[in-house]
Amino acid sequence: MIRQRLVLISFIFAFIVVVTRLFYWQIVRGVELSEAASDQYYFKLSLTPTRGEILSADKSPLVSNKAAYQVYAEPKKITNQKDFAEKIAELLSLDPQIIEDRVSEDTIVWAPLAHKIDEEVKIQLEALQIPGLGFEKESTRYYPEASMAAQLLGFVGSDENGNDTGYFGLEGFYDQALKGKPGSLIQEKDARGLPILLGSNKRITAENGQNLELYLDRAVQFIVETKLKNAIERYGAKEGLVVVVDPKTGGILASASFPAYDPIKFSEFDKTTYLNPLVSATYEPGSTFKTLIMSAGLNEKVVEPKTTFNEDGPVKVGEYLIRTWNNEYHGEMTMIEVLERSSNPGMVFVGEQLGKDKLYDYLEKFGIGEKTGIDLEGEATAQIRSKSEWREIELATAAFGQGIAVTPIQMVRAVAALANNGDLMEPQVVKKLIDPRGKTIDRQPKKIRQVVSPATARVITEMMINAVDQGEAKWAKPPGYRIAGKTGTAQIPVAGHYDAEKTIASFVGFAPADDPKFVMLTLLREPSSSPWGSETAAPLFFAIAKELFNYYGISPR
Amino acid sequence: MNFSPINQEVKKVHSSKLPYLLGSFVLILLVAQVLVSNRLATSGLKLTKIETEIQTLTENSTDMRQKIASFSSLKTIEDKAKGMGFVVTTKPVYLSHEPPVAFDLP
Repeated sequence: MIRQRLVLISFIFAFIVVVTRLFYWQIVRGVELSEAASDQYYFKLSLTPTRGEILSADKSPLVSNKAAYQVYAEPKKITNQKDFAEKIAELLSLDPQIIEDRVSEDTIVWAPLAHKIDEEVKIQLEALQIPGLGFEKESTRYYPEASMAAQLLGFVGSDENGNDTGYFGLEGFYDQALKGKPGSLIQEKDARGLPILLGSNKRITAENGQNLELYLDRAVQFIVETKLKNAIERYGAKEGLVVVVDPKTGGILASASFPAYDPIKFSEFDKTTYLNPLVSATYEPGSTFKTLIMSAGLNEKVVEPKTTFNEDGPVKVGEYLIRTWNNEYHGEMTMIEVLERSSNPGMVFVGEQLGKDKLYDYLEKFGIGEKTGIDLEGEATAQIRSKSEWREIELATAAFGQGIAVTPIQMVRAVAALANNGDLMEPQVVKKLIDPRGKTIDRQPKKIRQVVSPATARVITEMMINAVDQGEAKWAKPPGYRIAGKTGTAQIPVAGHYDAEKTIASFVGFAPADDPKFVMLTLLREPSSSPWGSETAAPLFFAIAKELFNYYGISPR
Repeated sequence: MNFSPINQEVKKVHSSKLPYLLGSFVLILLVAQVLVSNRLATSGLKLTKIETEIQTLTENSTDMRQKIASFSSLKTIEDKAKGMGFVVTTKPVYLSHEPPVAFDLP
């Protein structure tokens, strides 16, 4: 009886041992072993999507992709770590000590050393025939036009997980569309690692990113960048910006600003250059703003082109005196002459005729103080004070573009409305999104609102043509063309007062005035050769316009 | 007349052949499976080769696109044009009116 019980107990004990052991292998280490087994008979691969390209209006790539390599080390195959590090450090532009430290860790079997290495560097490294050095193919951004439109395009860097991510400009704004969706491949493999067709397999195809087709014309961009670089050098400006817009669609035809950065070596540049001043920087527009206030006055019929104003000296507004730019006064003058001579007292008169409510309403109608909705990352806006906070002096200075801040895109969009029969359009950089299967999503031009009537737009256009033909910058204008425009010289506010020396010189206009093909804003910060817009920004505008007339085949009258 | 014995014989003959027919069919299927499996087992290598070829062609296509983009970039064209002696047009000639049917040149 005892023996029978002993046998029973032994069996129960053995059963418990077996169950415990099974529990350990199946439950405790089940997942780990399952993965280890799966690794042996399954081939797993993450399928990385190709990032979408950015194309100019003629479908030439501005941003494309090219093959690059990740360089890695297999420390267990390396015999002399110091020697290994010294051999490759120079080609990888890395500190030999960092490489040595990385490959000297006993616990790791694979150590990444460098990303996005060019084919040429890879070939040079391969020629060294160093054991333990390997390469993994990856993709990197390629810029056929080098740093053209860098601040508009943005760049691709790595996020905290090491994944490619778009930053700033279009790369940042359209990051989700450009990056696509990653896929995966799980396939049964044989002992040699070859796929077994009869085995199980699961493929989730990677979806490549969408291509972006822009309004940007690379020929116009090239002209603009070349002329802007020359102008910055010639006029000794600290910074410069030019934007060219199609007034009918709101499409950005070109946008350049300097100093900029090289998107391939973005990390070597000052972070402040990453921001696109077109949408991120604000400035006081100065006299270019007079075109907007004058058009508001004309639209509200509080003034007419022939309305006269007596410019007999500085105008007293509260405790302040408003003077002309050169402190010269011309007596009785029409509104046409007010714009032509860029008279600040004359504009104060227009502002007073409009009154606070109407002037404020027009600022809002022109989109001052609101984001334009442009498809670029990092758009900023300077809020305008609430109407109740406006004093008499604010009304007066706003009429001639001081004490109010705008972004360049706000300014050019507002003037584009005058060139487009009074219709304010949403500025757009991307014209189409094209998915990898060829399906196209067209972004239609978007009208925001009618700001002034077509009749007012025609009248202010004629006044702006006169301001160009008779104004301070007439010497630089290409003969035979009807160009509507206005110069601006704004002082830079510094710690509660205006800097006496530093200015922002600008010119905004459109041409041909009767059927505008482009609206352009040129802006030079702190030009040293002359502080005036008429002697710096205006000649730059006309130099670019001349080239654009040739490019578009627009003949003089 | 009684024909039933003959009918029964026919049935017997039919029922005795059925297992052989089914057996043969199963055998054919087994042989077919072995042949197909054999073929497919070696196709893994072919599949890998095809996929490698696709990968190589895709990479070549990317390289070609990159080269085309590089050669057709405006900077390259400008440099080549300058090298070939082209200059920027400073005074373009415009035909501001419709050209005549024929020029009466001296």
